[in-house]
Amino acid sequence: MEFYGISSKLYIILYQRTAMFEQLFASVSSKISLTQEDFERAKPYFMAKKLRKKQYLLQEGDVGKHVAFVEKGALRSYTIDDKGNEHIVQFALEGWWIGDNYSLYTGEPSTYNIEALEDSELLLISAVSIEQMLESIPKLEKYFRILLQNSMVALQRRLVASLSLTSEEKYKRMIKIYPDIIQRVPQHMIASYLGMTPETLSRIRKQITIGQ
Amino acid sequence: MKKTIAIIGADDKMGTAVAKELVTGPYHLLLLGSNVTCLGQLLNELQMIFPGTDAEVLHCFVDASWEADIIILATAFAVEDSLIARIREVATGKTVIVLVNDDEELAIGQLTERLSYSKVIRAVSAPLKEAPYIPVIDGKPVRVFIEMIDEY
Repeated sequence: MEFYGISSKLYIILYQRTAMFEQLFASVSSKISLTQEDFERAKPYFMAKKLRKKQYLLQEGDVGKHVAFVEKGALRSYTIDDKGNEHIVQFALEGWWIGDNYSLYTGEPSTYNIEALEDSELLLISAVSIEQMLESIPKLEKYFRILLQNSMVALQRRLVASLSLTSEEKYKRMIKIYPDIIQRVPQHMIASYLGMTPETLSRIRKQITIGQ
Repeated sequence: MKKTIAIIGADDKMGTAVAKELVTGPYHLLLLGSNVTCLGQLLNELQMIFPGTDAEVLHCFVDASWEADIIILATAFAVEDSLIARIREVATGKTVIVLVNDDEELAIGQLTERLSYSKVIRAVSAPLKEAPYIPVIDGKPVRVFIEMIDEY
């Protein structure tokens, strides 16, 4: 059957479809050893979701029912304070997880917004599905434990950095740890993530350039 | 949060009726079908009915199903094996609503089997010729299961 002029795209679509779980498999394989068979069994617990730039995965006031793994693209989660200022909590690029765990596990409305910064391809999984998946494939417990450890460490280090470092040190630390985020995300969002004004960040960047 | 709904076969009678019903709701509609001119006309019509229309015509069934939270199969070719096989993977975990009327070729069980990781809901069981076309199928069944989905 002729598919109404889209047959030329078919090859690309097929290619994309096979690549849908590529990053997730890489992420899992980097932390634990899992057979392809076990991984195949894990796939049905995930929902594939495409977001276009500026679309939301979660908005403040909604209950976050899923956490998302980023196969492709970039997202950010942020809160808005009483004065209407945005505060960026997290960025997520390929191979990262993003979501509001508090809302996911308590069922309370989220205080976060999660927005796509680029066209993105995500794999969503609900709290219930995670439990079912871990029951069915216990090896994955270890994967999630390692993720949790890593995020705990990163969170603590970010907390200490935000309390003790100067603005310039914060920015230099960010360049060192997340050079890809610096490349792909607008400056004003990086300023927000680091808890400084865009003007301050701009000044620091100038100083660094002169210093070099 | 706005749910994205892909209507495959929005140029068919049933799909058109559903699109008109859903357009006033909090949804982002993706209109797909075989006749692009018809879809364009439908989009214009929707914008006339409801100024806040959030809908667009798309061409790739796989991409649209991938973007969607809910997929509505509203025309005969939408339930053909070839199409189902292509959207299967991107429909995992999603609600798929089948609005195609009964015929011998399609048993809902078969479709459920083919879309084993989706939540398949059969919406209309009465043959089209027995059901008066516009308001009945247009109104009630649609409202009923959209409420269900929101709870889910």
